[in-house]
Amino acid sequence: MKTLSKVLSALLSAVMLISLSGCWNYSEIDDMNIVAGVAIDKNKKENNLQLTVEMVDTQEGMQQSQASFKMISLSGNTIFDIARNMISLTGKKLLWSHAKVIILSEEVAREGLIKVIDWYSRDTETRADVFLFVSSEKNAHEVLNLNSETKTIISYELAQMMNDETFTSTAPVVQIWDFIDKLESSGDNAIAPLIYMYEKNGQKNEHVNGTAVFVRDRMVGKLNGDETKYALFAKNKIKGGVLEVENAKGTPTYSLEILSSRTKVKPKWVDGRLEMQIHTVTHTGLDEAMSAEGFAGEETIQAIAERAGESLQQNILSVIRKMQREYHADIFGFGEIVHEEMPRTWRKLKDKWPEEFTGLDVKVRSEIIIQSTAKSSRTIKLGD
Amino acid sequence: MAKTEITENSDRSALKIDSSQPLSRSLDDTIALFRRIFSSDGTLRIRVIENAHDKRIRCGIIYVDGMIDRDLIQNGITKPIMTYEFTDEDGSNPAELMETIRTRVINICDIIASTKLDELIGAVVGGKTIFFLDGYAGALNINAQGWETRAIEEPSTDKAIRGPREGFNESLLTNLTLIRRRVQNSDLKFVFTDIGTRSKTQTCICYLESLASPDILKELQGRLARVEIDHLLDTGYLAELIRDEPYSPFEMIGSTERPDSVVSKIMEGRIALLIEGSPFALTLPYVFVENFQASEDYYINYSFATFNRLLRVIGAFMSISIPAVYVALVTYSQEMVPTLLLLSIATARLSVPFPTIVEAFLMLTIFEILREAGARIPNSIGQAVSIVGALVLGQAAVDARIVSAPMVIVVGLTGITTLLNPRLTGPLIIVRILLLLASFFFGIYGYFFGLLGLVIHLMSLRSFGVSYMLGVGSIRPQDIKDTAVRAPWWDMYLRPAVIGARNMRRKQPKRQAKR
Repeated sequence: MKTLSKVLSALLSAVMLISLSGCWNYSEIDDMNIVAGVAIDKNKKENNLQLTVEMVDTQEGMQQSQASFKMISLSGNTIFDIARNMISLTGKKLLWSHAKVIILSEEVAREGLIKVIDWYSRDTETRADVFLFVSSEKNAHEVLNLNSETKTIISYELAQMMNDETFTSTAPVVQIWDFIDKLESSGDNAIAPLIYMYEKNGQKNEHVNGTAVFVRDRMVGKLNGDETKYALFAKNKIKGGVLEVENAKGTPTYSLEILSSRTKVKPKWVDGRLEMQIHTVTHTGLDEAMSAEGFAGEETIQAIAERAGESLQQNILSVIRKMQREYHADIFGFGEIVHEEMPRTWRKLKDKWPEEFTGLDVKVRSEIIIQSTAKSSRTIKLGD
Repeated sequence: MAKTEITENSDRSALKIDSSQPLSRSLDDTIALFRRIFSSDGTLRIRVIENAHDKRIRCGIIYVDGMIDRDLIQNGITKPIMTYEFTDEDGSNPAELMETIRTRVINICDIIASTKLDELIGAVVGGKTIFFLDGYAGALNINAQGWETRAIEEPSTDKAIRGPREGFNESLLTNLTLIRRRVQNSDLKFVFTDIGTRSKTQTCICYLESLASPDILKELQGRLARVEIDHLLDTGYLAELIRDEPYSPFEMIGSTERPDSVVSKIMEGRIALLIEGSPFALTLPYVFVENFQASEDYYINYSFATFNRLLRVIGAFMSISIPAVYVALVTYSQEMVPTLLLLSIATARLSVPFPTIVEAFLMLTIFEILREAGARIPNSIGQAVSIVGALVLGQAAVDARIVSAPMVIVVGLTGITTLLNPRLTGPLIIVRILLLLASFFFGIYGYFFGLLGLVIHLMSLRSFGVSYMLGVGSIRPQDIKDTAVRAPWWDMYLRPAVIGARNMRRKQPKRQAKR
């Protein structure tokens, strides 16, 4: 009898322990709307923010083989307020953990980003690994609205595009944690990829190309796709992409595929001035020769490599100069490098780094190694 | 229950039979006594025979019909007694005559002389024939047993594609010969005891004296002596009565239908236990990894055997984890599911009326119902069950959106992986349900706590003093040679530690043998 009552009381307490604590955080996925991407705009009429959310429509997906989408737009004063109020529009709670992209309008970006991305990085339901974009169009939601043209979930397309971005290197790949990290560091300026709408033959598509440059949390300017590539060279962020090379006469003839690239940046004191010495080594493969004449006869591979190196050197330098003169934004992280290599100097320079960066001497030396000529060792020869 | 006991006792006292009383000299008295003892037993046969030449020789034989070999009794007892020509040399008093009959007349090899009534009663019900001589207060206990047994067939559990096909049957003696034929060594011991206050079931402890641990043997004999039960029908009774950790769902004593499997366990220093009437032998001590060992593993190529074992281990793990992890991911940690998978689950779950956990319990229960239904029905309708279960129920339930398709996949996978380990079916079902509940209440967190609890429970188990998880988690190569992997035979020169500790060496390792 005694053991029975003991067992019973143990069972009872176990049952109470479990049932009274309830099902911690239990939620069914079919009771939630899965958010794919967000666009944040400025609502000029009421002078507050407008949040546009692209959601996956599972209801539609039941009939089709492909998941469909739903759009919701709402304005309000704080982002979290809008996000919660959306429940009254959708009827279901939003599931943020599968959102892949966040697109900000240029206007919002120019006014300062901290106030709009704080919720996103602070909230427990959202993830810090979403891709950040700045819309080059007037409004950010226009880009998301492209889904009615393409019939696909734009956000997931963009996420896929970012995963493959390393093959072109014309836009930086920035996730929100990375962006905030850059905002917080004093020797590094944040950047974000730019997104456009691209129209040709009546077919609209999204197009990621170029860089938005930030000083503190405000956007100050843009770089185009090519400039972005050279900026990424200076940042040691190049993993792939194509380098165009002109032939001796100055017409673009050769394409080099970047196989791997390594950039070393070293700060050095030269005649009492701080100088950044950049050295890039790029392994490439010659993947295209738009010429009927055999390149081996007319021009040695070495000559092509040298010419490519020279032009790369110049391009990198010109991007750095542009940053120094126009935007005063150290997007290359030179400050961080000085911090690491010369901690004592950094302590002196830290507070006036933006001015210091503008006047910095920079030397670039680029080395290009052509490892192979892909599948063929000769050009296509015309038969007689 | 108590009531019947009282009435039986009063019956016994009404007969006033004292089974320790001495036997009477008179044959007629003795026969009358046996008639009283077996009063309502229609199978008892009593026969009085006389010698054709010598009237002094008046004998009685008593046996139970159906348990004897009639030819043997006719040719070995009745015919010689009737026709033997007794001379003066054969003795004058009944004691001498009885000795003559035992040594010269009866033509059956196994005869024991006895004067105790209770022994003789036990012999009659055990299928022996007892022989009385008028004027002599004693009897011969003649073994002329003979009854129908099932032939030695291929065992239906523990099937092996390669390896011996013989399986135990219900006859204890046959089973022991199956073992003896594989170990022709006087070191192999068979110790008999009777268990069951009413059934007196013959039980045999079987071991190799030079290998089995005397401590474990003593412990086993002690436990058997303490068993209190009135009958034994299968070794399953015994396993439950003498096992350690009676509340654990895990088996603490192994059971097998294969003689080759019993022999291999005996050869590792384990002890086997067989009883009359059950084709399943018990082996002990039992450790967790034995659940994953099939006898075929030892007969086929070791790399393939290792692969199969790993499959079984992974299968067992999957079968307890899949429903729990699915519920935890879908209802708590949606962020951990790959986006595309989440989308397809969300689409499939739309308009399903039940919460995921109810769906899971519903489907798991249906699966268990189908399993149980399939286990006991005749083979001819087995197909119908699988068609109704799999096709009709499963397909229709998904089409009608009563359950979602991913849940059917989850339950199907769970079911298949359970089948990989027939020995673990019961424990796996219980652990699976507990883990499912844990992850229903606390998500992934609950699932991991449940797993932690399972590991703690397994680690705390002991079978006859041997740790249940012997060899699990060890990094010494010697300890894991016969666990989740099966080392080749030329490399297994030591017996498993602890169990085979008395005589570790199976054989000399190659290096030493060369010297």
